[in-house]
Amino acid sequence: MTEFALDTQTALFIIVGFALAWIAFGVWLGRKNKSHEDFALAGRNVGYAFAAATAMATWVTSNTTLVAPQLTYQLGVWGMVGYSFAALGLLLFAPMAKRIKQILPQGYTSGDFIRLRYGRFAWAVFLVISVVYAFGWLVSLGMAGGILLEALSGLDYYIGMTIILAMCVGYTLFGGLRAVIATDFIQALIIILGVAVVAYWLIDNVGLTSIHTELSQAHPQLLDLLFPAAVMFLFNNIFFGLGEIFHSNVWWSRALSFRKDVAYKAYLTGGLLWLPIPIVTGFIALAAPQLGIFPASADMIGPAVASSVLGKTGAILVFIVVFSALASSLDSLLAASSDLVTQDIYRKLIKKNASDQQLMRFNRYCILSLGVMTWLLCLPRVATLGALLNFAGAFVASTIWPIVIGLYWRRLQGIFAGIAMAAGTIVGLVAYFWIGFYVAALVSCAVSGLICAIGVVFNKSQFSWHQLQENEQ
Amino acid sequence: MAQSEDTVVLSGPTEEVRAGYFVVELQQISPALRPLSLQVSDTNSFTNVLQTVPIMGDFNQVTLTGFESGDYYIRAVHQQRVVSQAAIKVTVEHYPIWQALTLFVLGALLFLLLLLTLIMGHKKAVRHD
Repeated sequence: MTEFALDTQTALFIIVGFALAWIAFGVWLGRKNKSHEDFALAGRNVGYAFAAATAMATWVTSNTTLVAPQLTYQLGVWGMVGYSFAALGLLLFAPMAKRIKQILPQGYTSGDFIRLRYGRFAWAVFLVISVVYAFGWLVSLGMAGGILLEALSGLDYYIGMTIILAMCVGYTLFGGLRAVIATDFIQALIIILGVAVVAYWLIDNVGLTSIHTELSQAHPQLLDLLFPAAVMFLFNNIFFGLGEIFHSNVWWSRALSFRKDVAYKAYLTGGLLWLPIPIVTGFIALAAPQLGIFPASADMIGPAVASSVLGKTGAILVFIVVFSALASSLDSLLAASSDLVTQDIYRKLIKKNASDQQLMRFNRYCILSLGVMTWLLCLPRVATLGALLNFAGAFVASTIWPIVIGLYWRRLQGIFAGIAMAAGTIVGLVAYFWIGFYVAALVSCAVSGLICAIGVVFNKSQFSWHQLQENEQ
Repeated sequence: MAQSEDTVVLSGPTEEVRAGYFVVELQQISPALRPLSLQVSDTNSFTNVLQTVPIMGDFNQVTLTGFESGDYYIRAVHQQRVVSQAAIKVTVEHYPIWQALTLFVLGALLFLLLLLTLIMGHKKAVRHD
């Protein structure tokens, strides 16, 4: 009989309590939503503190709290340092967010930009990439919620997964982006505080010297800075992170919802706040051998160590931190993906003259439908969290160059941008299956960059920035 | 039959392990054999035991990590008594460092190029403001 760190009743009590509190908060915040712009972009009036908190909290996903310790357990010091380099995504997006706000002041989505800048072919490729990524991430988050609850408390996977999805759909449905950002602010505080407490307790109780001695004697590879697999993993992970942030409407919708001149500072602060978190969560995993903890599956290592060091209190703390991390990403992705469907498919292709109220209603149906589809896809537990995420790397890394060049330069045409994204994705997927997960994003980005470079060199016409304003009416 | 109730069958990766971590599965564990541990050695005779790894709860597998290139032998132990029917051998062979560094350098160059593109673009945009 396995002894779980938390009893099922306590876990159920915490999760239902959180769910009711967040949904009530969402309903309360939703009263301020008078138009679709209020609902989808929080009235384009988000201030610096909330903006920085939402950038940081959304990027702290189940990956940061579960996969960063996993990678440290598997790849050692480079695992946690390499993982923390994903902060580069937020840091480099800071100037881009400023540019986005400047050239698309009334824009809604990343799809808007791709369609206006590159035309329909590139837009279609981009939408396929966005949908694959969004579902990959949504499903991995839903699954991670169920797995976490099951691992810590023995609560049935299906019950845990259903409650966390229902909660996020609930408050996003009522409160829109305003609720997402407000809950992200609170969740960011919980995450920072919780992670710091676990790390402090660990250093105080186990000690750095004893951890280092144990690792050098029994697990030397974890301290080796020339660990080959870890060295390979480094830049692939960076390009995966850049691709995720540069293309995803989660980050574009935030840039567009922030007040003027806030976006740059907010993403910079969010990135700097995020940077140490994988180091801390990863460090937790390095203490595992010293504590005699060898997990059944590598992704259980973070919660296992924390509950071992802190007992029941630790288990509750880990539970709340990871739960907050999951919720802050799930709600953002639900809101941003439904905006993308509402703006890019419903408004542009199905009902061009839709009224504000119709858009708002459709947006809510989208959130609900996405929640139901995610729930259905989470039911069979078809793949592991890591497998789902690494697969998406080949897709998203192909968008990096078309987006960066498209935002600042006028000489890349839509046909080249579309081919760059399609070819980058295909070759990245070939590399994923033929060589390994650790090269998929790198290859995808390199191929896409090469095609973009050819496009820039051979193109003679210049894009007019005024074309981006055409959809303002 | 009596023998299988107080012994455990171990299985591990059959191919070379390329990143120093791997999963060992345990089958036919009777509850009487809990708590159970694995011993890891670099010799078949287990004269030099490198690690003793406790198995968590009633899980039937464990993830081991941090191994350098070499051959490792693993057996199951319950209260100082060897309970695995046979020790398993796992071979760890890390990727060649030249291969890893080639990818690292390619990645670094690509990243540098992206960074320069972004900085130049940002400066150009600021100038046009």
